[in-house]
Amino acid sequence: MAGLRLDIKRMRWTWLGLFFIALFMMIYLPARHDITAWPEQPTSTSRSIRYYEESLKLPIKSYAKSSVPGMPSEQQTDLRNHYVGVAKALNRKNYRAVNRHVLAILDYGRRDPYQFSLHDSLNFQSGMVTEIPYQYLVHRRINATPLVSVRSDAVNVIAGSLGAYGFGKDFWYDRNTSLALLLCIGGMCVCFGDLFTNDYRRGTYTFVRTLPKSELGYHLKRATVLVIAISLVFLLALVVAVAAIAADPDHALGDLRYPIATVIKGDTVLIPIWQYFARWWLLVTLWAVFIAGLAFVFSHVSRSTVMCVFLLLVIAFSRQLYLLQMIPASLRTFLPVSFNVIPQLFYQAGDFGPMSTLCWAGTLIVWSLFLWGIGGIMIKFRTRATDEQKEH
Amino acid sequence: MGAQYRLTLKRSLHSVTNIVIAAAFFLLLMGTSFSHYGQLDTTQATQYSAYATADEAVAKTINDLKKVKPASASVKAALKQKNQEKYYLDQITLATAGGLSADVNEVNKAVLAHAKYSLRATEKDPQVPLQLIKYQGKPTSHKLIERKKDVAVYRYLYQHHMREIPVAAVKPPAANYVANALLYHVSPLLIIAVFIVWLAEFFTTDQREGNLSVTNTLPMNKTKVLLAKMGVAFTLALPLFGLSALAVYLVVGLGAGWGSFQYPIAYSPDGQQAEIMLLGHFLVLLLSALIAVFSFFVALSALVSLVASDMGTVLVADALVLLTGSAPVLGSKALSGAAKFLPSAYFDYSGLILHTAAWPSLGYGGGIVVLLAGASILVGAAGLIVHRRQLL
Repeated sequence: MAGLRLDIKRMRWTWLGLFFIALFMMIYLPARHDITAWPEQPTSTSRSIRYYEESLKLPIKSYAKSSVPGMPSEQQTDLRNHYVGVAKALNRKNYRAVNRHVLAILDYGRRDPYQFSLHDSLNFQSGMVTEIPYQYLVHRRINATPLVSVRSDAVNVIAGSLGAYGFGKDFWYDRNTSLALLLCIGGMCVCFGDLFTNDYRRGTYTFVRTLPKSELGYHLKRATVLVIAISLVFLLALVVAVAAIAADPDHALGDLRYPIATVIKGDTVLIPIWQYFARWWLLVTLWAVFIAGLAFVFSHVSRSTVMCVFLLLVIAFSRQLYLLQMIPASLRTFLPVSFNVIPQLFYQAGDFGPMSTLCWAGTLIVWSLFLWGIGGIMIKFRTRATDEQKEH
Repeated sequence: MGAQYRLTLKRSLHSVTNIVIAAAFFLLLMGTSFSHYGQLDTTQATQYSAYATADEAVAKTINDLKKVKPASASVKAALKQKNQEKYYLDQITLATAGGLSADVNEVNKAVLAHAKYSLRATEKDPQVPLQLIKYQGKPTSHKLIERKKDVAVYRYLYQHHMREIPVAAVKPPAANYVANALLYHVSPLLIIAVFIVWLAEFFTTDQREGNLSVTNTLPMNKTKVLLAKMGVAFTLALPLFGLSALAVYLVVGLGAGWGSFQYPIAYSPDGQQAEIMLLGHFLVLLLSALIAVFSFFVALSALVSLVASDMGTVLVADALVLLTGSAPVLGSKALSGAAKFLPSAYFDYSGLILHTAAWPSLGYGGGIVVLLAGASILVGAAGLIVHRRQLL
C-alpha cells in the first residue's frame, strides 16, 4: 500500500487536471453548439414539442376531412386518432404513448403520405427500417422518443458529440467527430512518455534498479496506476458533460437505454447509448494500455522525454499523417494504430468492415501484451550481464 | 557575449530535440506526398476531364434552351451566350484531344481564350450564368476578381510556355509541392507549434540540468546570457526548418522533377486588380513572415522562462498565445477593432501574403512591423526583469 501511495503522489496531477479540462471542453462544446446554434430547429424539449405540434397539424386536418384520395375512411379516422394521440402525448410529455402511436402510424407505411413529418430526427439514413427503433422503445417501455430525445436529451446530445450520428452522407454539417479521441490519445502520449522517462530525468534510475523487486513489476505498477487514472478522467469528463447539459432546464437527462439506430452492412442495427459510452470507454482504456506498452519499449531506446513523446505521437497519429498509406492495405487492419477514427470504428465502416468490437479490442490487447513482453525481454537482456557477474 | 553565445551553441547542438523537430517538420511537409503514395499520376486526366464535363454541361444547357418554344428574347440572348461559351470550350476540347501528348502552347492558348471570354462576359453582366470549370480542390466562384485572376495566370503560363499544375496535383514537381504544402496543406499554426516545443525545451535547459543556480552566482551580465540564448535560438531552430524544407524539396524533386520557381500564383492586393506572384517570391515572403513570427515567440519564451522555468509552463503559455491567433478567436466580436494591431492576427502568415485573411489586417509590411514591435516590447520586458533582479 505504501508503494501505491508513493506512485499516486508521484503522478503529475496538474497534467491530469489539464487533460480533464481539455477533454471536458472537447465533449461539451460541440454538444452545446448542437443545442444552441439553430433556434428554429427542435433542439430542446419545449422547441421539439412545439415543432412537432406544428408539423402534425397538417395530417390531422387532412385526415379529419378524410381528404386523402384512395384510402378508406375508417383508416383515415384511425390515422387521425393516432396523429392526435401523438400531439396530445407530446404535450403531456408521455413519450411511451408517443412511441405506441407512432408505431401504429408507421404500420400504414407508404399509404400514409404524411409520414415524412415524423422522420425529422437526424438519425435517418438510407436503408434504415424506421420501425425497428420504435419497436425496441415500445417493447422496453422506455420513456424517450426519437421526436424529442434525439436532439434534446443530455445523454443523446453527448452521444452525438462523441460521434454517434457523425456518419453517413446525411450528416448535416461537417465536423471531425474523432477530435475528442485524438485529444485523448495525444494527452496519453505525453503522459506516458513523461512517466517512463522521468526516472532518467531526475537521476533516480540507478536507485530504482537497486530496489529489491523486479524492474518489470515496478514499471507495470506505475503504468497501471496511470491507465486507471486516465480511464477515470475520461469517465469523469463524460459524466460532468452530461450533467452540464442536463442542468439546463429545457433538457432532460434522457434514458441510457435509448437505442442509437444505424445501418451496418445494410441491416438496421440498434446500439443502446450505455453500450456506446461503454465502447468509447473501452477504446480509451485499451489505447492507454497500448501506448503504455509503446512508451515502455521506447524508454529503453531513448532517455529523452521529448524524443519518446515524439515517437509516440508519430505512431499514434500515423493514420492522420498518412504514414499508413505506405503499408499494404491487407496488413493495415492488423495494426491497432488505425483505430482512431470514430464512429467508423464502432459502425464497421470504411477500413473497418470486418471488425467487430471483440476484434479491435482483441487486436489492441494482443499488441499491448506483445509490447510489454518485448520490454520485459529488453530488461532481462540488460540485467543479464550484472546477473552473470553476481554468479561469479 | 561572443563566448557565451558559442558556449550555449555548443551545448544545444547535441540536443535530441533538434532531431525531433527536424523530423516533425519533415513528416508534416511530406504528409501530402504520403497520402498520394502508390497512386497513379492522374492529374492531367482529371484536369482534361473537368474541361470535358464543362463542355458537356453547356451542350446540355443549349439543348434544353432550344426545346423552349416559343423562344422569347431572353431565351434567345441566353442561347447566344451559351453558344459563344461552347465555341471556346470546344477549342479547349480540341486542344486537349491529344491527352498526355497535347501541345502545351495549344492548350494554354485555348484556355486563355476561354478565360478572356469569361472575363468579358462577366464584365458585361455580373450575373451571367457561366459554366465554371470545376477544378479539384478549388472552390468555384462567379466573382469578377476570380475571372481576372484566371486571365492573369493563364496569360502568364501562355507567355512563358509553362504547363499548368493544379493545386490538387497528385505528383507535383518539387517547387510547387513545397509551396502548396506550406500554403494550403500544413497549417502555419502547426509549424509554429513545433517551434514552440523546441523553444520551451531550449529556454528551460538550464533549470532542468540544475545549472541555473550556478549560472546565477557567476560574475557576468545576465542580460548578455539571455541575449546570447536568443541568438542561439535563431541560429539553430530556423536553419532546422530550412533543412527540413530542403530535404522535402530534394525527396520530392528526385521523384517528380524540380519544377520552376517562376510558376505564377494569382492574388488580388485590393479585391479589384489581379496580380501575379512568382513562386520563388512567395517563398521568400513566407520565410520572412515566418522569421518575424519566430522572433515574436523567441521573445515570449524568453520572458516566460524568466518567470517560470518549467518546460511545461513555457509550453502551455506559448500555446495559449498561439491559440489567440486561430480563426475562432480573431473572428470574435470582442476583438473586432483592435485585432489588426495585435501580433496574433499575423500568426497565420499564408493568408497574410496572398491577402486572403478573413479578418482585417494591416497587410504584409504592417504585419511584420507589428510582430517585430511586439517582440521588441517582450525583449525589453525580459531585459528589465533580468536587470532588476540580476537572476536568470
